[in-house]
Amino acid sequence: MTGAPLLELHDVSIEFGSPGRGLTVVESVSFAIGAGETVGLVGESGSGKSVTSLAIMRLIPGLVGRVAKGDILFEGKSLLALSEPEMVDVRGREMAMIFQEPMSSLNPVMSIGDQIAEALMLHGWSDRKARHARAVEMLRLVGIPNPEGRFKAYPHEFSGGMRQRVMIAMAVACNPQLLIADEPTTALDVTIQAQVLELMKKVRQETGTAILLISHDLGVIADICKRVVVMYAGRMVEEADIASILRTPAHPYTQGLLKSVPQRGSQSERLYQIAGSVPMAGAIKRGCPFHPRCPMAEARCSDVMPPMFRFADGQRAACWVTAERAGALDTAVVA
Amino acid sequence: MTRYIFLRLVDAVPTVLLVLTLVFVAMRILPGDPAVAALGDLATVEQLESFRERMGLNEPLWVQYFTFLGNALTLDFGQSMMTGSEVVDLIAYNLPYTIELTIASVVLGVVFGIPFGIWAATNANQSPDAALRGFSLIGYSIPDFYLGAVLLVVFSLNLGLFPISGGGEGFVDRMHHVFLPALALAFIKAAFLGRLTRAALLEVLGKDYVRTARAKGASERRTIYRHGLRNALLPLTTGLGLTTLAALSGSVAVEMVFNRPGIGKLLISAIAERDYAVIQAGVTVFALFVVAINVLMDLVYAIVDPRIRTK
Repeated sequence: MTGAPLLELHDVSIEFGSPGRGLTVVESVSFAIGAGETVGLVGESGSGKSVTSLAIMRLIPGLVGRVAKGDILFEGKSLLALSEPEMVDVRGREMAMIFQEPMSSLNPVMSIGDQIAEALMLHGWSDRKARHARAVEMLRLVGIPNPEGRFKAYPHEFSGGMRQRVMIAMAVACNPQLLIADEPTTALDVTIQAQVLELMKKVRQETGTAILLISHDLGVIADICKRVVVMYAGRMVEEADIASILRTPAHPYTQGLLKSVPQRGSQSERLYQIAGSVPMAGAIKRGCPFHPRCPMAEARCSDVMPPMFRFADGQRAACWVTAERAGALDTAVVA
Repeated sequence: MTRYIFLRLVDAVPTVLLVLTLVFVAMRILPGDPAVAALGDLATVEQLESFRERMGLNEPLWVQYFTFLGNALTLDFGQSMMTGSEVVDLIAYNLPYTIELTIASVVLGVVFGIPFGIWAATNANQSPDAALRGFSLIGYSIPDFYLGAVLLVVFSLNLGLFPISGGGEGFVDRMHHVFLPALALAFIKAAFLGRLTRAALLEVLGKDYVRTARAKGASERRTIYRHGLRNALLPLTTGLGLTTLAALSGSVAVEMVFNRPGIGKLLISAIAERDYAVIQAGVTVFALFVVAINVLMDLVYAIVDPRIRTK
């Protein structure tokens, strides 16, 4: 991390349903992203990773859910304290987002050029010609052939991979400092996945934007991210640089995740799987959310939620057992 | 786009032919003798026979059919059996009043219904939504001719604000005459379009591309109108076509209630008098209206949705 962090989440809890009586789907999540840094957020479906990203963009409708606790800081300023018009100005300019569903994330009745130009128009590009030129330039950057001619084309004339490229072009058109990519490659074919990841690397290189990449696929994360945050059942369970995660995962859940990845040359007939299934959000009220499935679980695990312990090399994980074995330090104050 | 318009028009040709055929068949299987109906019970056999000869009713059916088709295509619907005046002239006199009524009622329905629907959708499950639900229930429940009679009694008879009957002369007077009947027809349209707009907009506002619009920094207002409503126009176009057609059938009763000229009223009196030529022409005009509106809707679809345009 270089200098002051760009984005900081401090002890963020997100609640769905009616205020105060709702369901807590994300609890006490804290992490930070530095300028230009690429951080992965990994976890299974329902682990709260998408909800966390929507909360950063403040895109969870107020009637549905809200940040109940904690704060989200962008360049040191609280995003939660901004008025809606101020937040509207932040979205798309300071931080932009691309989504999992390229097929349905573009407006079907607006040409793709106009959709990119709209993002520019919303953030102070008043000159129509300049917008057009910039949109074409962005289409070229993301590798759309014949960008000038394709400006007027509609989303249905593009394939899924091409649409995701358009989404990326739209997201980075205003040079945001942070790009949140929520499962950007999940809906795509494997070869297209690789292309889109390459494109994201290229975009990062050319624009210097920080990226928060959300994925359930450790392979994708490992390909592009330096640091990883692992979430399980709405809780953050581990945070470390990618090498540490892959070599010495500190949390039993992360260890299970890694073991589940098929190994080349493995003799075993069956793939490894973590016993049991992901609990419903908020179903486990006491102790570590992973304890019912954890092979190392002890009595205290079902009683008290472990804090984030500090392991070697800045690795952090929320596990009583592995922390004790590694002699890790309790970090009451989260770094 | 030109090709699309051309194809839609070509598509309409068999429909028109089918409609004309149905009209012809319906007229022939109608019970009652047109000659007796026209000349009355006291007419002599010779008089009836000469009438049939004059009207071509003695020709074989297929000759009558092709004569009818040919005449219809050249807009020659013969003479009214009752008054002897040219049917084309009757249609030409009455049609503008019906079109006027249809357009006015649809405009009123759109002006009240769509904003109401937007208001309800953007305040879903809150009081505006409940208000729309109540309004729609009332709108759906009151028959247009009954509402027309009530409006007539209250605003024309008792308050004297609007004329009691007729179609009016000159633009301002005609608008004055058309307002109440149009309002009677518009009530259910506003209810229908309000519900439809609410449902369509709510569905669209849950779409991924609406989230994308928000994520790139579109204000709530821009998100709703530019991205939401623009996409909700597709189902709304269908609804608009349906409700325009409903205005046609509704106009029959409402023209009677307000005693204003129009194809509906012309048709009703022609049926009462068994004036075959006029009935034939009236039904044909209504049917062509339906075909025309459908073609028009297809064109609107193409304007609204680029996916249809490029097919």
